[in-house]
Amino acid sequence: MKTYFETPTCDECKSRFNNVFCSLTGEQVTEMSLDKNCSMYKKGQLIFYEGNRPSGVYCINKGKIKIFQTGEEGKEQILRLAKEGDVLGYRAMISGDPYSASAAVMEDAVVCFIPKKTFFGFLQGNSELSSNMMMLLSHDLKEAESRITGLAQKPVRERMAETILMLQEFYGLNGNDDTINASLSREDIANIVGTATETAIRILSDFKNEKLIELQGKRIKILNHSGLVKAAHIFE
Amino acid sequence: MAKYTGLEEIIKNYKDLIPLVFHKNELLFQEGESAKGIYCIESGNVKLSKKEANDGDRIVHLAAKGEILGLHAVVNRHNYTNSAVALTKTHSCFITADDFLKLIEDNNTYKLLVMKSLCSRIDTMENHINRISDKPSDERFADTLLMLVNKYGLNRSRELNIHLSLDEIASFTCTSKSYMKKIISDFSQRGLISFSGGIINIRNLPQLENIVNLSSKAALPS
Repeated sequence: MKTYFETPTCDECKSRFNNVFCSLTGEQVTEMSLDKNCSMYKKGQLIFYEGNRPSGVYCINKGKIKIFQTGEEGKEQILRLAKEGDVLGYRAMISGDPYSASAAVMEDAVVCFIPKKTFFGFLQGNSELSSNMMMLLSHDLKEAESRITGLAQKPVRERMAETILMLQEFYGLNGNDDTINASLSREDIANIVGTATETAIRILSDFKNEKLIELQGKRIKILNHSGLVKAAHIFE
Repeated sequence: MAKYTGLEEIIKNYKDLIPLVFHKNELLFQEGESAKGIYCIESGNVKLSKKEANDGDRIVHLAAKGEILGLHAVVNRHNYTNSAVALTKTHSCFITADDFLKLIEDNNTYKLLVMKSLCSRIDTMENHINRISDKPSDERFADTLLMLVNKYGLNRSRELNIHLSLDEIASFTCTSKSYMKKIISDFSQRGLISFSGGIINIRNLPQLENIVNLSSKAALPS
């Protein structure tokens, strides 16, 4: 079956002004639009694989993507989630190293590939983009640091509460029923929290019994925000 | 291990560099204070730690000669996100935040080096996250020892070229102090290491590698 699919242009991309490429000039946007390739990915498909060498960066036009590493016994550890407007693979591109993680689609996605040459051309020629990229990496580093303290110290229950709050903040709410705008499998949630799937299911049902959240299949709705913040032990 | 990116050279060649010497346990900078500049370690070892909610300190990184500290805080113009304390007498050179930002302002090649340097640190952090998550404490410890051997090397008596207290080892491997003590005594009895007064002696490297490899072999997809 062939799915009708129209290549998005960078000009018309809704995400253009809230990602790192927002500082590109009109001319550069046209150049990027001509150089890139866009593909549609189905749920579960891989965009790049840990250990492979990058040949460009990926820009998400639509959809939800997880960045993960495969650890002990093939278990996934989800490092980050991404959504429209996010750019993927820039770290491997800049450092020249193989990908340190894989990217797979969680909800059907349209992703554009920007070749290495175009990407570095922009970095060299656009001072603001270089600065933005530097800030983005600084932010990533700060996040990685915080993850270490979070992982080391917080018990699973607190990490789960934190994850649910993070999902809401990151993906926002569905306008119709106020559920979090992402349907993640229980396994994905467990892999974000860094725990076994059974444990994740148990804690989710604890939260449900405590009326902190409501579960509608894969959808999660936060019923008691302050209760969840309390459960997450967030001080900041 | 920190990858050489060339940014070190550029900082070292800067005209208004301030040389600084820190004694053991002296603070280079503190988490939360506004980022006044960037430190480049010329000799010595530095630990980077973050405050935790229960008033404890979590070591997030151990830095060695050639590493650059405070870079992401300066670039993002926010406060230092961790505290840096010298583990031994440490020589470093210092460039103020304003000087550094001016230095790279109009130079996209320099900015690319900053990016590379940041990437290298993020990789180190993510490897560390992998080391400490979802593994039993003894594997975490063995894996951490291998990383330290790789990064700091051993002297002639097969002692690690970095001295760490029991507290510091426990904090870095995310294990409680009492349990860490137990693991160290277990490793000592098995003839893998010996530990006294902050000095870690590596007595059986292949066996330590085995402990780590056995678990990663199990991780290969069948």
